[in-house]
Parts: sequence; structure tokens; C-alpha cells
Amino acid sequence: MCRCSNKTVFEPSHYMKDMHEKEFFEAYQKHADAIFRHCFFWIRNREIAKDIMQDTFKKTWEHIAKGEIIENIRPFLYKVAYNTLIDYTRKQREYSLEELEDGGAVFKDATSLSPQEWAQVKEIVNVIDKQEKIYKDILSLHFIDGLKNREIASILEISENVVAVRLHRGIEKVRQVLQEGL
Amino acid sequence: MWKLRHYKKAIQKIGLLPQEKRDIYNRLLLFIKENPVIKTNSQRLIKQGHKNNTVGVAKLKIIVTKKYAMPVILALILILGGGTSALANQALPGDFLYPIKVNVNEGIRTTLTFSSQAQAQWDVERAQKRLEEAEQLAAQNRLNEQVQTELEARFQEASDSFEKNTQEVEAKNKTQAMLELRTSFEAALKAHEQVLSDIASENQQTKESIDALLAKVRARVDDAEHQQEEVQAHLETQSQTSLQILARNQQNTSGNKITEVEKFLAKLTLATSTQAQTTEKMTSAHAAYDQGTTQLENEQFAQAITSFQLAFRSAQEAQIIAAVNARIEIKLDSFERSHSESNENKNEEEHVSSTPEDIQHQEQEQEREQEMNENASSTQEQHDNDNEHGELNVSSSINVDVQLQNKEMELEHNGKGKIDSDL
Repeated sequence: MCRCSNKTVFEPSHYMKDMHEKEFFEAYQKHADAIFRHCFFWIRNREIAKDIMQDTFKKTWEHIAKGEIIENIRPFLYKVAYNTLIDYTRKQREYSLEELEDGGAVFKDATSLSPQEWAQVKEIVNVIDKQEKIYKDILSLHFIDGLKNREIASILEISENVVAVRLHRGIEKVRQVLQEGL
Repeated sequence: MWKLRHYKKAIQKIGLLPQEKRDIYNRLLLFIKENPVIKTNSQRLIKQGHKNNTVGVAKLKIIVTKKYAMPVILALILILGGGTSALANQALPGDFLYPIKVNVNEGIRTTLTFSSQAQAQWDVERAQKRLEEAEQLAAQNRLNEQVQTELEARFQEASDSFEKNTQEVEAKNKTQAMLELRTSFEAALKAHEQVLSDIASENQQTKESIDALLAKVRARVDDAEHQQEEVQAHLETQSQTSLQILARNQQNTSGNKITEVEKFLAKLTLATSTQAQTTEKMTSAHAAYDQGTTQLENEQFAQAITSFQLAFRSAQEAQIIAAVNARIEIKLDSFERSHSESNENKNEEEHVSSTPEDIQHQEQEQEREQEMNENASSTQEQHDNDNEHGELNVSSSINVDVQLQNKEMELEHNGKGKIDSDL
């Protein structure tokens, strides 16, 4: 609504509706894979990750449908995904039998990865898993979610410099482990 | 080998298949049509953050004075809005909107559900809806043969789909999920069997139709009981450790369920006959739970699992019976008010519902609930946290990052969360 004193600018709702939809699907096309990847590395189960990714976008739409403004869509999606993932893990809080039997990770099915690449992924994920928390966060946001330092800084609420330093050290640690493993 | 860039590249390659992406796109599209934007806001709602997005120039602008803006918006909402399908959710067979309910609304839900586990859960819900509709219609004397056949067919379809999906879950070796699905379906069936036969005994007019439906439900109950035996056989093949885990989980789940149902029951005012039924179910739920706990201590895991399942089932039956009866009474109430003025009998019944006997029962239950609460207090906390997250989800988007940070802090306190959290 415009701030003019006694006149209101009013777009026909179908026009605005189309615009919201268009923008929403643009965001989907752009971020769906990244959000899916984020969920997949958390849950390590393709089907569930897809469900959670879908839920993430559904919840985001519900937000939009209420007419609320999303300032920055990318962190918003990560945030919603994060909540959904937490809800999911809480519900599954008890040790699931499947998980135990598979040694903690049901980690199958790569789409376009060669076996060699898949082995690399598993290797680095294992290494990142073993790092201290402060490095782990940044490393996973960097490697898995492919976020830029600035974005990591805004998600973790630390300065870009701190991110750069920790990332550098973290990468060094990972590199060390990988080289020693050779 | 140590070139990290390669690793990063490989990880970034993980994504959705084009087909999967399109599937989810289509589902979201359906979802969006179902939930249109309610408040039209002339601002852009989605922003890309650091880019400086100003309000887009609208191609079409109608300038109306403030005086007329509101009626115009209301009219548009009425014409374009998705209110119809929301209304349809309350429809019963024979109503004008009923086809929208079963075909559009529930059809969308079916397409929107992904894993076979979620599908099976939805099937349980769907089968229950059909039975509940039959119950409501019967209570209003509106159940005729045609409607009954239709509901029966739909119930059969949902049950068949449940069987199929549960078998898929079982095939994936998810014993826990399979157990829970089977237990909740059996509970639903048994509860509705009870409600239906109660209605049939009270209402001679619709007795025939109900009996036919009841026969189907009973057949399914038999099936379900038969399945339980197979589950039992399946359990015996499992290792002792996995059985122990399963038993512990089942203990948790059934304990939570009992607490939940007791809270739920405490909120309702029920007719005396219903109250008696639910109390009976709850008593057997407690008995089964106690038995299960003893068996667990004695390391009889398979038996303990069965006991906890029984406890869960009884509690759920109590819940469904109470919920359905409450709903029928409410519906009946409004139905009767619109058709005649004679509500007296019902009102009397409601007054009777708090006899000294019942109060005593309630007291006993409260005592038990307290015990249960102590056992399950940690779980309760979790629930509270869940609620918090729910609220946060829809809260303001401005401090997204702050909240994310807070989440991380919380997560550190949460043992398992920590393991799972960052990768």
C-alpha cells in the first residue's frame, strides 16, 4: 500500500499473486538442490531429505501466503530447513534400528557421481565429522552448502574475518588428515 | 588426492535428479494453488538480500479511494480465494462439497505425500475419516445404502493402500516404523468398531447399513491381528540387542501416548457410557505398560514389545473413541438444533457425566498421570521445544540469523543432536 494520504494504490490480487508465485518458483529453481543437499547430509537418507526439502518450501510458501515479507530468501530457506530438520530428528530421537545396523549412516545413492567421486565425498564427510565443532560448522557450510564466507558469517553471526581464519585452519586440519591417511 | 577443490566439486554435484526436481515442483504448484496468498501486499515478498530491491513497478494499477479498498479486497477474496476447499473439509457424503473434499483436497494430500511411511500414515487417517463420516451420518440418520457402499469402497481402498505401503516399509527393514504403523491402524480399527457397534445398537434405522460396514471393519481387524502374529514371528528372528532397543523405544512411545491421551481426556466432557469405555481402555493401557516394564526388566524383550504395543493401542483406542463421540455429539447437537428443538435428553446425559464414581476415576487417572509425567518429563520438555520451533518458523524473518545461532546453542545441549548436527 502506498503511503499517499487518502488514496491507496491497489494492484489486482491476481497480478500480485502471479508475481509471488513466479518469485517463489525462481527461488525453488535456484535453491532446491542446495537445500536438498543440506538436508541430505544431515539426514543421510535421500527420500527423507526430499520430503524435508519439500516441506521447507511449503513452509516458506505458507509464510508468503500470509503476506509476510522475506528479507533474504537464501538464509531464510536454510533456517526453515534447519527447523524442519530439528523437528524431524527430535521425533526420531530414539536410536533407530536401521541407523545402528548401518553403522550410523544410511548413505547411499548418488545421482551423477562416479564411484570415485562418491568415495571422495564419503571420505571428506568423515573427516569433517571428526573436527571440533567450531571448524565443523564452517567446513560443512563451506564444502557441503557451498556458501560464501560472507553468507557463513551472517548465518553464524560472526565476522567475516573470523570465518576466513577458522576456515583456513579447518581446511588445514582436513588437508592434514587426508594426507596422513594416504 | 589432497586437492580439496575436487572434493568440493564432487559434493556440489550431489543434487536432485531433474525428474525429482520436476516432481516436487509440481507438488509445490498444487500446494500453492491450495494455499493462495491471503493478504495482498503491494510489496514484493521475496527478496534476494544484498541486492537492493525496491518495490517493483506494477503493470496494472487500479487506483481506488480508501473508502472502497476494503470491500473490493473482500470481494476479490471471496471470488478468488481458496475458501471453498477449506469449507469442503467439513463436508459429509451427500453434501454439495463432499466431492471436492475427497477428490480435490485429499487427492492433493495423497500426491503431496512422499515416503511410503508417510503414505501409510495418511492411509490410516483416510480410512478413519471414512468411518467417522459413516458414524456421523448414522448418528444423524442420514446413512443410506448408496452412501454406505461408497464409503465402504473408499475405506477398502485406503486400507488396501495402507497394506501396500506398510509392506514397502517392512521391505525396507524399518521394523520400528512398521510396528508403529500397524499398531496405530489396528487401534483405529478397533476403536471405530466399538463406536460403530454402539451406534448400531442404539439406532435401529441405520443398523443394516452399519452392520455391512462393521463386517468390513471386523474383517480388517482380523487381518490386523493376523499381521500381529507375523510381526511377532518377525521379532523373534531379530537379535537380542536390536530387540532391546526396540523395546526401549516402544516403552517411550507408549508412555508418551498414555500421558498424551490422559491430558486429552481430561479436557473433554463425555457422556457416561463413553467415559466408562475410555476409562476401561486406559486401565488396560496402564496394566499393559506396567507389564511391559516388568518384562523389560526381566529381559523378555519380545514380550515387552508386545505389551507396550498393547498399551499404545489401548490408549489410542480410548483417544479415538473419545474424540469421535465428542465430535458426533457436537455435530448432532447442531444438527438437532437446526431440525427440532428437542435437546433435552442429551443435556441430561451431559449433566450426569460427573457422578462421584467418575470423579474418583478421574482422580485415579490424575495420580497416574503424575507418575507418568515424572517418567516422561524429559520427553515433555522436548515437546515444548518443538512447539517453540513451530512458532519460530512463522515468526519474523528479520532476525533469521540470530535465531539460527540460538538453535545451534540449543543443539549443543542436546546429546544426539550434536552428533547429527553438522553433517
